[in-house]
Amino acid sequence: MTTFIQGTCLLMCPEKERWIREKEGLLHKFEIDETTKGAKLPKADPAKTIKCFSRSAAGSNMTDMKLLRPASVLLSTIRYLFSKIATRTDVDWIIIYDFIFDRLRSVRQDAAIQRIDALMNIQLLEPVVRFLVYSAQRFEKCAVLTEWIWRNDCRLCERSISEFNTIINEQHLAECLTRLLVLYDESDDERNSLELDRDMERLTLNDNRAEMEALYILLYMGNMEALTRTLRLPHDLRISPNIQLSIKISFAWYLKNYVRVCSLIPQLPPLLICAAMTGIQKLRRTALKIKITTTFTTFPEMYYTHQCLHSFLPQILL
Amino acid sequence: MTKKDYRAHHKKHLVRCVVNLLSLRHDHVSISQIGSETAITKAMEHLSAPLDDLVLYHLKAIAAMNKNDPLSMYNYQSSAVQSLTKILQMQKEENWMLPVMNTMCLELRLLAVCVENTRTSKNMKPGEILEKCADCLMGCFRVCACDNRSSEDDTKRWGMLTLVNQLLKIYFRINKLHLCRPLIRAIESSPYKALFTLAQKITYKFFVGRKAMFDSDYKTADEHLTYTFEHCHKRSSKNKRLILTYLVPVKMLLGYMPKHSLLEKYNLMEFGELMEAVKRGNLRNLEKVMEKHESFFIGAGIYLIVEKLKIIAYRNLFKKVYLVLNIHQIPIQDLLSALEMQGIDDVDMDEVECIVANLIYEGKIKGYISHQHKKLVISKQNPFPRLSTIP
Repeated sequence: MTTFIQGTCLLMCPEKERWIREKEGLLHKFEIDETTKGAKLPKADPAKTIKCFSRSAAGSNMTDMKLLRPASVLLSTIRYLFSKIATRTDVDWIIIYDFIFDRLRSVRQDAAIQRIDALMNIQLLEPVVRFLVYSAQRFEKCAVLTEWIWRNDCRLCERSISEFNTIINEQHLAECLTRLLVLYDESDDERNSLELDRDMERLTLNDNRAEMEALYILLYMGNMEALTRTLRLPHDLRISPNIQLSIKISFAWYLKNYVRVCSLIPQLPPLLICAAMTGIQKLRRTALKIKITTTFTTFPEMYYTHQCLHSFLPQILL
Repeated sequence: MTKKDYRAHHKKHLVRCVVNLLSLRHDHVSISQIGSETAITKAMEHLSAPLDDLVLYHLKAIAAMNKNDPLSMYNYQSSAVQSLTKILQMQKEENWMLPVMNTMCLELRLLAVCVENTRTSKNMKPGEILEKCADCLMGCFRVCACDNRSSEDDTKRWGMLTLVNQLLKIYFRINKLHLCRPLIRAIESSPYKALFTLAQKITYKFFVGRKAMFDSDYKTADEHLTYTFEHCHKRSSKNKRLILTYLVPVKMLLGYMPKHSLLEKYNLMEFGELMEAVKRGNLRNLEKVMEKHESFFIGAGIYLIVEKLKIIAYRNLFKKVYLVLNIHQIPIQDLLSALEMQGIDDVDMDEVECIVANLIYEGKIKGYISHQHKKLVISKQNPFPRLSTIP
């Protein structure tokens, strides 16, 4: 095996990057020192500045230890983002989303370069998945609006997409979630060769895993491959109430029983409702198609309001 | 025997000898000295490139076998198959080595399965070896598939189907069904499609049928699996039973119920109970049977197909309600009562309407729902068409 790189940067942002961004005026408004707010080139607040995501390119050394943050710092970075930034009400959610999305991406990148071990990586990816699911829901109304505007004026729609791109959000979610599932499967395998002191860790891991597995079932509601995986989950996971309920919902959708799907969704905890609602457009379309050809009625309207979604912060993500 | 016949016969015999000498299941592997260092050095003195590599890896595989080390045995066999691939690539206009390839590739896959089953090391992911094995077989497959300049007698394309079958077995085992499609396409477009041996065709159609089943293409699944069942050797009842495990639920979805005698003959009584429940439209019992035989259905990979039978059960139940009432405007409430009579208590009017809407949408009931009057209005003619006649 090759040697592992262990980052040595103990701040959320390496000093060098902070310095450059300060000089070039590239600081985000969440990162500046409040006392220098009005200045031409505001100063960075080291406690608030967070490493940006940047692509690996020729000439840039991605493996410089001084620029990489170890796992514990990455974890506290995530915590900071969710408790101090996500909860802000003074700016539009889109600005918060862009900031957090980018900084989480750099967290994932740091973790990938250092090949952080499976258990730690799981702890990092879980909150990222939660954030992406939550955001998709928080933009839901915006997305509906886009669809409507698109028919009338394409230019307006373009602006909306540049603000929140559902597809990119979905792609990142799918990427993180599949990575997580692979990590779970691998850690499953090590189950037999388990030391005692790791039992506690395992217990909380399983708890979160049930949530993530349920999330996966709901995001891929009625999908054959997802259902096949679910049926083969270890027994102790399968009996978790969230997974049981999610399986019921997925099976109901598998048989296109939209009434049952809609009546079961409200029984889920908030985050899982968010996950279930990402596919709701498709469900509405299909249900409407079936109804129009056979009968017609109004269809139940269900989603969280923005205020309601906001009040869930930050507990829903942590 | 004419001279020509004799020659052909002699050639066949020689190829058989080569196959045996390179097989890990032939008697020669039990000779203890054969994997020893001295034997290997001696053998190498008498062989020239490119055959030397092939034999070297074969002997090393035997040595690993004697040490009871399946992983390195697999690795040597994999190297052997790779050098065989190179040899095949170099041999233009000849295909006499295909039997060797078939045997060695089969043994490679069997070894990979064996390694997976005895997996002990922690840093090996499940399915990893099988995936590597698939890569190795793909190397052979490419050489065979690209050999389109040789004449029909000498082309290596005759080797494609055995390789595809090996690969399909692996992909089904590691649950990577999306990888099957290009393989199936390659065979379907092959000019020799109908000319492969029956045994190969049966294996191939078995997997294509199962793939179609997972893609919810039940007509295609029925076609392929029926062929497989009818042509499978009558004495291999184990295989016949396996085919029926998939064919029976597919047939049931298409509206053909199996005979009890058939299920009894092949010891598939799980389906008997299932069929009774579906026929009677007894949703409660259907759920009970599914719960009772859950591990069987999941293990066979047909749980999701069996779940779809619920739709047929609903259709049968609603048809019974229609036959009892003998009217063409059936109150939704009566359909709900029929479900409640079976002890299903978590369903309401909206859900029944939804189930009926789905049945109408799929063409299983001819009619429409009057939401205002809470009634299902059905066609005067053939309101519940036979399932087998629905396109």
